[in-house]
Amino acid sequence: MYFLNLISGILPFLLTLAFYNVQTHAAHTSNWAVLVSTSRFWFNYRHLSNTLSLYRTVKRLGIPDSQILLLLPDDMACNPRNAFPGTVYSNADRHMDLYGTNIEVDYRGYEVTVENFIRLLTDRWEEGVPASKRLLTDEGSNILIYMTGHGGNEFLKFQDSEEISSWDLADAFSQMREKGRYNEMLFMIDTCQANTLFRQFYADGVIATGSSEEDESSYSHHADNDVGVAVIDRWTYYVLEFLEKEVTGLNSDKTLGDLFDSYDVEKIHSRPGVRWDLFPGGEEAGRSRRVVDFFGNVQGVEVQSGNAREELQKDLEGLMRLVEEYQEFAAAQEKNQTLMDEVMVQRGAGEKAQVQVQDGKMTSSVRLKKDAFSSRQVAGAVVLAGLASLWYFGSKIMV
Amino acid sequence: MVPDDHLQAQSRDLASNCTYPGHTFTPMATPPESPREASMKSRVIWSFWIVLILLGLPTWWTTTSIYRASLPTDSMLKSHKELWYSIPVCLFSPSVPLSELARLGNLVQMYGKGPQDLFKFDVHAEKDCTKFPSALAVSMEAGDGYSFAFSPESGSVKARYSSSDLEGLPSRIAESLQSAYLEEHASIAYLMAMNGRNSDAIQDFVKTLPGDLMMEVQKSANRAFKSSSEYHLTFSLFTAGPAPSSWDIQAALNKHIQPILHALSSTTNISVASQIQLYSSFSPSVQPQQTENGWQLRKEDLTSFVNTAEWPLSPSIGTGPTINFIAYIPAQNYIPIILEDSQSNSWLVPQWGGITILNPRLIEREESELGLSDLPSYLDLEQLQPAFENFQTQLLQLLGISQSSKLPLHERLKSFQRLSGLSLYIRTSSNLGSLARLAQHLSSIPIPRHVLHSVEHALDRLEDFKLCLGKTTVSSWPTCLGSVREAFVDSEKAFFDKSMVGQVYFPDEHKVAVYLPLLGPIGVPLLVGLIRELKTITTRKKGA
Repeated sequence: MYFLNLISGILPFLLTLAFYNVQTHAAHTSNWAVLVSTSRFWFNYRHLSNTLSLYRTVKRLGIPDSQILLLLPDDMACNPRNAFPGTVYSNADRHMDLYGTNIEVDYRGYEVTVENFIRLLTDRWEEGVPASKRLLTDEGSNILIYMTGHGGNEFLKFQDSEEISSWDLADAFSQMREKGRYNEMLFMIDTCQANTLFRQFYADGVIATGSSEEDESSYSHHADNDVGVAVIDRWTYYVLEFLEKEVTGLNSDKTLGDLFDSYDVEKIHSRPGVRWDLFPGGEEAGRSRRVVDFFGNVQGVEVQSGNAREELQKDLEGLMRLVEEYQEFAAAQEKNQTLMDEVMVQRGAGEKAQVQVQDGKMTSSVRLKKDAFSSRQVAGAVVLAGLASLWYFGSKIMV
Repeated sequence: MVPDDHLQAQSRDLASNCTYPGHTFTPMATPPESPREASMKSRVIWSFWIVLILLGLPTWWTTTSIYRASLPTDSMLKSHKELWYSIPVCLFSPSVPLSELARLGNLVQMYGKGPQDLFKFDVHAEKDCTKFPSALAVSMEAGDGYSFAFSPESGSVKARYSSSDLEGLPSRIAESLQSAYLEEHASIAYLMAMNGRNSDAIQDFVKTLPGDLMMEVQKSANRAFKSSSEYHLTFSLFTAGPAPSSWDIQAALNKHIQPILHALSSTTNISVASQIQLYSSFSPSVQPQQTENGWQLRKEDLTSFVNTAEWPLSPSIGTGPTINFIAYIPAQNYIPIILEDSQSNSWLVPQWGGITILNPRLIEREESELGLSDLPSYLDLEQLQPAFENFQTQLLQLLGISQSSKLPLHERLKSFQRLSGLSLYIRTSSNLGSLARLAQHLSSIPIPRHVLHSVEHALDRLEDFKLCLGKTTVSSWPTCLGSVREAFVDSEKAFFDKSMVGQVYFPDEHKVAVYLPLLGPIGVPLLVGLIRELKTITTRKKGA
């Protein structure tokens, strides 16, 4: 209802502004990426390498580490079974090491849980959680969310111990929409029965794509004989092939329509799907979005063409007056500070009395605690007596 | 033999038709229960069921229900109303008597009402306008001809009027005020419209505004940070080599930045930090082009100039946004680097910060015959001046202080104060509205009591703000701003409370799976026992 009113109210205004040649869609001001792998154990090497390949792609196209949230539940690079320690490869030719030296993993090991993931999306944290672990987006941010692992019909398994369901994701996205935490979102998922996971989404502004339909598995692409396990999944492999070959830089014009048209069911061995209906403008608008709108980093830049001094010229008198006011204020503060220092020295004698008063307060607070303790003792004794009498009289009833 | 006889005797007793060999057994009737056993059995069954219903059911209910405090959703959704404030103006005059001034003030206020009643000025006549620091002070003096001039230093207005043309005076003053504050009113209209409060009055008003003004307003809104109750500024010096390794930051801040922060101290809290990092190179994808007088950066390079992988730029300080100001000193062989079409060698990244490239003068080495020179190791105030002048303008732009030349700086700071109050009000009411909708829609999210307290506090503060707006010539804008800032902080705290993470959704199959051990092995014997008990009761009643 609210959105209906909003749209019906704002439409005439937009038309008015359009008359004055003003762009009205919310400006897309930043790009974020949330890359999640959800499985542990050595034989799920390919899920980690899927995620790391996307990480490298997104970094290549400019998104900084501070705007990428990488969630890796296990450490394949330093796994004792890794024949090439310190490396993760997504191809049997082992050309490119995905782990490398310049990597920032935000959530590792047991920190990758369903609860942390939902908290990350909705930004509901306790105090003291650092900014590197939070998704600090606003209305102008485009978010790319990539998830991979083992999944099923409307659920995704996290670390072999818990599950996230499609309803949780849908609710989390709707909360993000309410708070204006994203402009547009691209949701990609590579698991078995992946398309079922975005079935329940209802927040608008989301384009979702998955690797396989219901009752279909997603397959791995190939294995490396020396690493010993499969190193990449099929759908992710062909998506990466498109990104490597066609989207070479930030000025690439390839659109999401091109990306999704490049899906070849023969090669992927499962039927990937796309969901457009939540996107404003539907399939047409979604297809025309550029790939780098989600994978690359946009940073609008305004060059200050004039000389700063000339621009400040008109405010010069105002600024000089501000400077004078500030200097008066600073001088007054310094005078106050010296006065305070003198007063403190004089008060040095009276401080001992203050400490004594504090001691009195502390002893009284300790006494209060003791009282609480004894009342708890009494309560405990009453409960014990009650249970004992119940037991005694209960046996009497039996007899 | 005794055992055989005994056995045979027993079997004869027990099975009356027992004959050896090939004997057939007919089932024996179970021995009748003694009354004591029967009553024990019924008591056991009833006690199980009583404990189950009286103790088990309430315990299960209380431990599995989610605590949801009842939020005042109606008032939260209704706080979304349209709000328009009037700009306070104070008339004073050394020569004109107060009653005349008051009459003039009323007329000006009447003429000053723009179309659809949206343009509003709150004009009061006072003896001494310094008691009302939030109001625009207009001094009326007799002279020849009409003039309305802002004093750039103090921000007050000297208005001259000719005594021969007194009837046209109120409308002329109103017109001058309207044209001076047009940008502020356009910003208010833009803010309202962009946040869903889009009545016909606002639309009609926007139609009367010139197109380039609206474009300017929109550009400024997209460039500035969202209004917040506190900001953090970080001034960073990144050097490509080992020198310069220090700068006179304190003096530069005191001269250029602190005066502005001091003037804004009643509007918002701003804290400042600075840092230096040596051997910081820009992103490898940036390639300066060699030209005849140095090196040049193209515009495409600017977007990826900031090397966020290696530059320490995103600290988590407090709740407000961080504005980054970077002064970059290139490597010696790259000096000087200039930008394609910028005299000041600086650029601004909207909603992020500003960057300046400083090309310091090289110091010549004393003993060298080849005329080698080095970068200075210390940047003094004079060398930092161009960078900090850039930072000054960029700071004003990034905070959202308008750049129009019609109003002096003091007045622009005051309108920034008023606009940030309004914008915080809008953000607070959207937060509350979103929280209300969330609480209604997602019924599985717990809502703790302290969220209710924060919401109530925020609603009270919003009411205070609205009341305060009605009396801004009596009270001052900083007090109104104080209440709306508290409301904003409370609303953010309430919306982002950490315990409102929805419980993992359980589909019905999962629920059955969880309760199956209860339904199966425990439930069946209890039910069967109950049914049997009821049957015996009914037979007994029939029998009795």
